[in-house]
Amino acid sequence: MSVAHTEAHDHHDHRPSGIMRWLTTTNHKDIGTMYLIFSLTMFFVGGLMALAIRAELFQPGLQVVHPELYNSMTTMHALIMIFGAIMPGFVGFANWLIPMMIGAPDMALPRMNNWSFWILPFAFALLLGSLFTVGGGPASGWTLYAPLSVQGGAGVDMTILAIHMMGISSVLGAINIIVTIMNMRAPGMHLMKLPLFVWTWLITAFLLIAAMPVLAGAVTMLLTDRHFGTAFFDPAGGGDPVLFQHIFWFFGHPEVYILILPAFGIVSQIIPTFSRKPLFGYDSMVFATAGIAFLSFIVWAHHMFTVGMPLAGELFFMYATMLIAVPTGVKVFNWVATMWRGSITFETPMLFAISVVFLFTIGGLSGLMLAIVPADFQYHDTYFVVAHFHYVLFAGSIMSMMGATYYWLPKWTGRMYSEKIGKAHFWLTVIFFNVTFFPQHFLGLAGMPRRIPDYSVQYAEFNLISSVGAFGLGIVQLLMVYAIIQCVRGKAQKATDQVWEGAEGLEWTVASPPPYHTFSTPPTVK
Amino acid sequence: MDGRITAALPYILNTADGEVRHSLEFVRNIMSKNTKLAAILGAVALFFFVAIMVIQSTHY
Repeated sequence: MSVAHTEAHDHHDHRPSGIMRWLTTTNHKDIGTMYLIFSLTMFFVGGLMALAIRAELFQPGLQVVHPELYNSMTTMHALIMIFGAIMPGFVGFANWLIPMMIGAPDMALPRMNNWSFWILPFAFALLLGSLFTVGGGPASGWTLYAPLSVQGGAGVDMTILAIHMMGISSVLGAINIIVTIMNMRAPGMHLMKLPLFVWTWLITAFLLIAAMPVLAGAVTMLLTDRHFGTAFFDPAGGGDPVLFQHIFWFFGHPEVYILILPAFGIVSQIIPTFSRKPLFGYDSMVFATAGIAFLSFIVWAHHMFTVGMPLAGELFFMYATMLIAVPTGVKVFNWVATMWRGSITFETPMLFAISVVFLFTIGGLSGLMLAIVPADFQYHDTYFVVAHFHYVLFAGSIMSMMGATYYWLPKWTGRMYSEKIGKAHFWLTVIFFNVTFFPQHFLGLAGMPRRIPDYSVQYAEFNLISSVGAFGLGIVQLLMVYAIIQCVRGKAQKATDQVWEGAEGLEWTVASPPPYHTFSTPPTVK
Repeated sequence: MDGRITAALPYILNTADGEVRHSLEFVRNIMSKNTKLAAILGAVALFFFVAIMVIQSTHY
């Protein structure tokens, strides 16, 4: 892609100051920054809950937390990591990058953008506040399955309201992203010239608009069952708890792809840069992303094979799930083909991107194992599932965001992070991640159920290893925080405007750090 | 052009001085398109929210 216009600093680089800047800002960079800080904060809050879980599981017996609180910890850890860390994290990257990548001056609906963000702190205050109510926080798992969630205390109501608020925030954010991409592209930036990160976000935004209202519907019905005399999920009133599972997973499976597609976009930006080659198979990447998104809506019941369903249903959902491996395989093939015979260098973002490809593929393969109906009857609700989705969500989503942070941080702050710290963070994260989660495959295969605070002594060794790994994994994340702070405070070396030798795209044509308003005159993309 | 939209434009670009810049032409051209598309997408989301509850209400 060549660009006919290079953005320069102008005298309009004016910004409000103080707290009001952050409360009232309509600037996509400010809002992106707030999303990213929020995401990082929630990552540590959810991480502390994970450590409470791993401390309890360090050895057999009950020793650290009460079983009810343990159930709340597993529930809250998942809700916070999914809705508080991963989703806002990707929206933060979208806010920062999409306007700069497509040559737009800002998001299409900037005040709605501000509102989308500021809903979130209140939603999470409500969610975390539920821990302090009589009866404690939600303890039914993040899936909020009825009838357990119908029976909980006021904490469940607070959770339902918090989910509604998160949903509104997500849908407004998705609308903003779609409108921005469809209407605000610079002249010459045709759809099939969009950077892959923008494409994956466009498709993710459509998934959000279709999936989040379904979750809102499910929890609204839960609320009416709890307080307004309906019996959607109560067999005594003619309802069915399995109905909740169907509705939840009709949201829940597209949600998995909402959490991973932007990660694919990030990897597709980083690998070509450090391979010094254009992305292999751009068109097939776009169609594979769309294919994954479509298939994500017809596989939901693979999460509930064990509830009992007709054989035809089991077969359909099994084969449809296996079909997702095809477009996903296309992506993995394209990433590897991009690296093939490239002039590869292994800076921190590239290391993270390669590890995402490798570790996410392990998570994808264990997902295929779970898709096989008779096998799933054995694996269901065991630690094998926990290992599987952490390979997808931590090694896929979160490690892609870590790579993205190192990749774009020099552009955002104008400072180059310490490569030594970045690499130390990468290697320690990869090692501790595998120490934590790889043994959980064995625990699951041996039959250890998930969501339990105590276990049989035969599982003791692998649990001990997993807990040691988890504490290591938590502590080494402080290295990334240190690297970020060094850049933000201007203590690190200055970065060039291009930053990376092989980087292509409009965001690299502006200064590092970029002026407060970029592309107020649209660039022409040739 | 609608006066209210003209008044809102400086905010859209977050220019605290309210100076109308040459870039506003660019924003003005796409603004009504943005609102329309956002409204359609919002309606689709609302439809899914209502539809899932109506379908379940009539089938349970």
